[in-house]
Amino acid sequence: VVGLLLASIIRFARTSLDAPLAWTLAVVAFAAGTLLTVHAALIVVVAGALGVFLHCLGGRGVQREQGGRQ
Amino acid sequence: MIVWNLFSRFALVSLLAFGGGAGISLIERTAVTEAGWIHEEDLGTAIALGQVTPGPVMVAATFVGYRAAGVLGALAATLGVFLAPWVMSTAVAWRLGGNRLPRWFAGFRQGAAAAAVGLLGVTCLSLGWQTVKGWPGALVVVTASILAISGKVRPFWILIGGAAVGAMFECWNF
Repeated sequence: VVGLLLASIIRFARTSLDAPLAWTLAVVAFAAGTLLTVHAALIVVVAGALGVFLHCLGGRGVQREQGGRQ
Repeated sequence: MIVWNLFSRFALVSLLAFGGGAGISLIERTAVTEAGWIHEEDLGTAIALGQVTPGPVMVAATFVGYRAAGVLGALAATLGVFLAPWVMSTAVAWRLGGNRLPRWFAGFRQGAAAAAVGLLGVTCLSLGWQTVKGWPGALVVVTASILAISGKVRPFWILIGGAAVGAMFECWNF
């Protein structure tokens, strides 16, 4: 199961993390979950809100290419 | 009370499980850490069940619900985890038709998906810490990962193979 989870992380990262800021968000989420034991729901909501904020700023923050992912 | 708890908590999990990745972390946090419905080792079994059965990995909720409160618990958890996404998908499909979703939603999804990768890492680390013992376990993890990434072997057979190798190592007292 751990091996399958690891594979899921790699596959999911390949498709979801396509910009440096997305990688940063993933690393911060990992650190917040392990070191600070922040609730997973809070991490998802805050990351999502940050994604909205960055989209409003210019749409090129978290994701390099827009479209075709909805 | 526990049945309602299962329904409401898994409904919340489903609303935040963007891309499926965050779902496993949320289930871990909810079922293992907060509610204590199952142990970390049982979570591994729940995820395995989600991997080998058809459909999304979120069917792990059914396993958790059953362990927590029997058949009624399984029904409540399953309903909780699938009802909200189903209602929302139907509503969105009906309201928007062929139109694209709002841009802000795409932003939210991208941010949440990035966080989901990190949270999956947290779950993987936590589960690995509890269940992987010594180099034989690490070897199984690496082999399973390589096979899963290659996409040539189905998760079901990877899990069966991992269980067989684990049993073999146990018999030989590795």
